[in-house]
Amino acid sequence: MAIKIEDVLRNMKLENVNITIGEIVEEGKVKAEAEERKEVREESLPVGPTPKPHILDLRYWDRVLLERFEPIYMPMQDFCNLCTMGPCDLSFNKEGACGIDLKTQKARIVALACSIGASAHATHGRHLLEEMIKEFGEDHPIDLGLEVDVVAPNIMTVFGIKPKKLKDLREVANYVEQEITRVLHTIHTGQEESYLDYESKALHVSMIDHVAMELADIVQISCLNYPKGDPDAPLIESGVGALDLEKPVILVIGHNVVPARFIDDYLREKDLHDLIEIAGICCTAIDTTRYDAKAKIVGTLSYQLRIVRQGFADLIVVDEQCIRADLLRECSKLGIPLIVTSEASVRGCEDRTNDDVNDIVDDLVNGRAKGVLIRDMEKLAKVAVKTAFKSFLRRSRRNVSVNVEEEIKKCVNCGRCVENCPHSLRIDLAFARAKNGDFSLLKELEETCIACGRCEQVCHRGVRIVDVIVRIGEAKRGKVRAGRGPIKDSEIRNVGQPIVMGTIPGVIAPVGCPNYPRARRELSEIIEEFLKRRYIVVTSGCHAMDLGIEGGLYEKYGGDFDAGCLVNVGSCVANSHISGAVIKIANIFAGRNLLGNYAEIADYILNRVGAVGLAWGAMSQKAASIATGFNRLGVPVVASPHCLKYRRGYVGKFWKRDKWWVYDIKSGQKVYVEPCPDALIVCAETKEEAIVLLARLCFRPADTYLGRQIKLTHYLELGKKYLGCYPDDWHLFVRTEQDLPLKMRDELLQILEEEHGWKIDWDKKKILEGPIRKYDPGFNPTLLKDIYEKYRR
Amino acid sequence: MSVYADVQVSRSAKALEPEKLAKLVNMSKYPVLITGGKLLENEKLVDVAVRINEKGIDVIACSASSKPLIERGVKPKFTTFSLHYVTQFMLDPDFRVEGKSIDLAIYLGFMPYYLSRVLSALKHFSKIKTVAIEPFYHPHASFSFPKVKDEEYYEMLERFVGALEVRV
Repeated sequence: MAIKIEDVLRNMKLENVNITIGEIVEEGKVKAEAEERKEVREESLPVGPTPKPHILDLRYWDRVLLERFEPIYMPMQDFCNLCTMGPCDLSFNKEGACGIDLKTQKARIVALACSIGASAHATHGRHLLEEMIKEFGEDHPIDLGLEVDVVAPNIMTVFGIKPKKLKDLREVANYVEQEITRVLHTIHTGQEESYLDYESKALHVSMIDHVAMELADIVQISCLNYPKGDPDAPLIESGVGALDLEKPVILVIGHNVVPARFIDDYLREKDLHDLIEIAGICCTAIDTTRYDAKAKIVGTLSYQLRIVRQGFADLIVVDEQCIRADLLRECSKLGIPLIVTSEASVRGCEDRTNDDVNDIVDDLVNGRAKGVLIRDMEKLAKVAVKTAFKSFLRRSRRNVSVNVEEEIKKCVNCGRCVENCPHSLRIDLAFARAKNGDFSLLKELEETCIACGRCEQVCHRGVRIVDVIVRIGEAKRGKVRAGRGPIKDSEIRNVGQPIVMGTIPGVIAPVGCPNYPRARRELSEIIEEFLKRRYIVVTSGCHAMDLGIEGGLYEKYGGDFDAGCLVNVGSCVANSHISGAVIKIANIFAGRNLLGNYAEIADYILNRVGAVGLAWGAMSQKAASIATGFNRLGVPVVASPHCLKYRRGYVGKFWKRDKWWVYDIKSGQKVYVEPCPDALIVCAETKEEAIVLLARLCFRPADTYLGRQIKLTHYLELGKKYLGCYPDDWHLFVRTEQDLPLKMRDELLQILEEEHGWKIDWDKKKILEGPIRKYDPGFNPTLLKDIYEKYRR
Repeated sequence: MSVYADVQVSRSAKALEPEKLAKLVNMSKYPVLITGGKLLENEKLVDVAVRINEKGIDVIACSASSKPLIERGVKPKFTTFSLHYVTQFMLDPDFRVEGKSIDLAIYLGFMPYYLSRVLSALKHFSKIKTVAIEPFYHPHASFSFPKVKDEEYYEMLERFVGALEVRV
């Protein structure tokens, strides 16, 4: 109570007024008045130049980005097959029958991928919004907790309003859907001629994706009592080893919490909650555990085939996105009933929504129906629980046995599996060694394999490769902190300055799917390197799971948005809290207006906020749009080698000096700056390379000398540790001797003089000549002429 | 058809014997060896890279492969930039390594699917010749080893290195 009163008083600037307890009955009134004043304040906030930006409104910002971070295309196909004039051979950048060249065609495909990703989140968000309005009413407030006043930074910055009630979001959802359709329209045959314009479309629709994600997550947080920015959100029992297999297991897979939530509610209502395990895979797992901390996370999306093949799931309920397209077939082989619930993923199942509950249950349990579609969530819950109990009684009938030795003997080491493995894993060698009793390579394979099953599809000997690999592995167990949702405004107030000054060396955001190039543990190794160095780490989705299950990191590091802490914001749609946090730094710390002011905010972030994404296993189109959305906001992303298959990177050329300049608002000059960040999305092949790259991408032109010194210390140390030498380009980031780490200063000055020809005053240990520019504590960079002119006035 | 190649490929690499590949390298003006992450786990590949460097061919070390190479006395021209960066640089006709323009790149020690995309970019958008001396056939390269078994692969690498002339 005391805290609340203080907050109210502070809001009203009445800190020195004495109020007795007897007067607190008026608190509601006082609070309402304060709210009213706040609303007036907010309504009087200026709206920037681009509220609800049209597809072309931010093209000028994209052009600025693309001039510096040139797209690089790595075609997956030499041909275009999209229309009936083709197939057209576009190799060597030839033009097809419609006139499009290879580069533009690749950019078009990227725009398409990003549109698919954005549409997935947009549809998810719309579904949640309408469901929650139906249940809670359209006047239900958007409430992310007492310490989150900037509830929707993405929506505010892009759309230009601060939503207060669910009904406010309908207008936002309409806008999102309209813009996605607009971008899709441009992908039709016979539209753009320049790859840069398709890139602008990709960037636009990906920015929209962050709006869609934010909409989805603030709806569910506001209505479903999820943690609201709680750094001490519960630790969730996770991994296959955490499941109590003495109970029936309902496995939920996908991204939309609605079906799982109804099942969970029904179990509580019927007092059956402790008798059934609800366990999840992929983002549905994360959101289910935000709703009910007793639910469990089994693992990332790559666990689907492993789990189904182990046969302990008594019922599988799927919603949407990232669900295996052979799930019904796989379930049928073992007699595991499947319920589908989303229009996006009906899998050929009959719509049984209007049938009697007991009839559906009987058909599922007796195998007459291998899978059913149920669209009524209350009925789904009843069917799911009854089916799970009955199916549990038949679990022992599921034949999941594999004669590992026999399967290994069948292998003739032809290598076809290797050629078809997405990771090119040497399955042939592992099986050859296992034949001689050495299972070490097979064990290693289990750590690395994502269990996609492509090897089995091409094996002409019919070897059950995935089954063998799964049997070799052990059931993992760990704890994952439940997704806490937004970063609190108070946290931004605390860390905004050190992040912008550089004294917190950076924010690393591991986000994405589990399609890792190497063993899953590598992700944890990368992240722990930065946690130990007191970077802020903020994560979501499948990466967030592996950091707990594989790495055990949540038990070692706190959940605050602060140096050396690990924050799990939640599922895919909670990525918007990461983009939201960097936006809030510009707003809460720097006082920049958000409403309809996207380009200014992105320009601020690009030049000042050392945040970098890490998509160490990105796989889906959603991952493409999430990353590209971060890029438009000025946040670079390091991606795994698989991400070259997205076909496009944004990679700058450090050696082209004319690409690296800004307007300095303070001096009124156009100034050449150090190349930082030098890419917006770029791949690394190994974890060692990724670590050094992440540290480099945290540099920003606006770093203070102290911040630069800290960042440079980490960059140099990591270079020595992983590259065996100082990085090639470290000298480019030195503006003054004060930027140099104290303990290495003499050595580094020596190198600058001898290897780079800089002039050093050795008496004063000062740099006289050499840096790209001199350090100026008042340096105020922008890439936008209108922003320069606005603040020069 | 392997997973990392395309069904519709306009031009596939010529799979050549190691001696012929070495001859192409010998004829080039400024070839470089670009090394990948497999060198972190395979000492044999490090050894091959060291010996190629001893023949006077400059090394661009990607994927942190610089570490084992530096330990063996190699001084790579670049150590810090990932293959993605290096490819972007190479696609620019203005790019020079100590004033020299790369006309041929030899690739050693990369993940097959990763290298395949890079070779595709160079195939379509540059004139640089690419040579993959990897255990997998790379259709997007200009020239490639054929797909071979492990033991044959090391033998082919030996023949390739043996046929390289020392560059002055």
